[in-house]
Amino acid sequence: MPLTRTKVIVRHDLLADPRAAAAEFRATLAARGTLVVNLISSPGAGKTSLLEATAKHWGNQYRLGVLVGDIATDRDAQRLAPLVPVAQLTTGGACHLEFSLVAEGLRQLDPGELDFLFIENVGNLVCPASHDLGEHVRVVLLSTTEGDDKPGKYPKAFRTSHALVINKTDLLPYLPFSVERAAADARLIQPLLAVVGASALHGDGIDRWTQYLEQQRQLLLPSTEAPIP
Amino acid sequence: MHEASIAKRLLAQVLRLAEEHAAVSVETVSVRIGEFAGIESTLLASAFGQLTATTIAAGAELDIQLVPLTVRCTRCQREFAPERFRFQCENCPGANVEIVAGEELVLDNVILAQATEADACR
Repeated sequence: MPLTRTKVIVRHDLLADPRAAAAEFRATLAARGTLVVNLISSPGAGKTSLLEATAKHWGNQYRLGVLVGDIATDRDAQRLAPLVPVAQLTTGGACHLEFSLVAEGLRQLDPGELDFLFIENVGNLVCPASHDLGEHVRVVLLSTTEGDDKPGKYPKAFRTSHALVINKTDLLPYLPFSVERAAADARLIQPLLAVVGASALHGDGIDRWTQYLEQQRQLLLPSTEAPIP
Repeated sequence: MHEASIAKRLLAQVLRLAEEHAAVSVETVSVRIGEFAGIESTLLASAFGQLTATTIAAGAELDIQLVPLTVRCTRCQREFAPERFRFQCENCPGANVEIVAGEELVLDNVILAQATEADACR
C-alpha cells in the first residue's frame, strides 16, 4: 500500500497538564485555608514519626489530615490513625505519588475543612522530586544516620523543597554527621531552604517545626486573619 | 523508576495524534528531555518500546534530544549552566537562581505514515 509521510509538529510539554491540575488544587486549598505539605525522604528517615510528633504537639489545636503513600501495607496509616484522620494511598509498586492519587485520596478522606493536609510520600529521594502533588510546601527529611553528604547526591529533591528537616538529632553524639555541613550542601542547591533540626522520637525541635508550618499557613490566609502582633 | 508512567502518557498522546491523522503507523517520535527533568532517557526508550509493541506505533523510533540545565541569577540576571547541580551564581553568593531550561519533557513532533488518499477511499 503506498504511504505518505506527514510530520506533525506538536511542541507540547507532557508535564504541563498534571502541573496545571496540581496548581489548581493548590489554589483551591489555599482559598480554603488548608496548607498542603508534601513530605519526602528516603525510607526510614522518620516521616511517619514526624507526623506523629506533630499531631501530638498540636493536640486539638488544628484540623489535620494525612494521606499516606506506600507501595505495600498500611502500616504507616495504622500508626497515624489513632492521632489524625488518615487515608492510605497504595501505589501498587510505583515508587512515588502522583497528583491523581492525591485527588482520589482526598475524596476517600472526605475531611471537611482542614488547616493542614500532610501527604506522606513513598520513601524515595529520586522520583517524588519530579511530581507536583499540589502542595504549598515541600519538605525533605534527612536523618542523621543517612550521612551529611546526601543533598548533593539527590539534587532535585533538595532543589524542589522549601524546607529541610534534619531528623534524629538525638543520635548526633554517635555519628559523624554535621548539621552545618548538610545544611550548607543543601543550600548550594537551594539557597532559600529553611532548615530545622529535630528528633521526632524525643520531641526536640518539634516546636520550631510546627512554628514553621504555622508561619507557612499564615501566608495563605487573607491578611485580616493574621494575628495582631 | 517512573519512566513507565511517563512513557504511557507519551504513547497516549502519540496514538491520539495518529488517530486524528488517520495514520496507519508511527515512524518517529521526537521528544526533548531536560537534564533536570528527572527522566532517564534509556529507561524511557525501553519502556516506550515495550508499550508500543501492540499498537500502531510499534517499531517507531524514539528520537530523544537532551536539553542542558540552564539557570538565571535573580540578582545579576546572568544565565549559566550550573556545574554538578550547584545552583550558585559565582558573582552573587547566596542569591537565588531560577531554572530557565532543563526541566521539560516536550513532545516536539511525530512522523506518521498515512495511506495515500486514493487508497484511503477504497
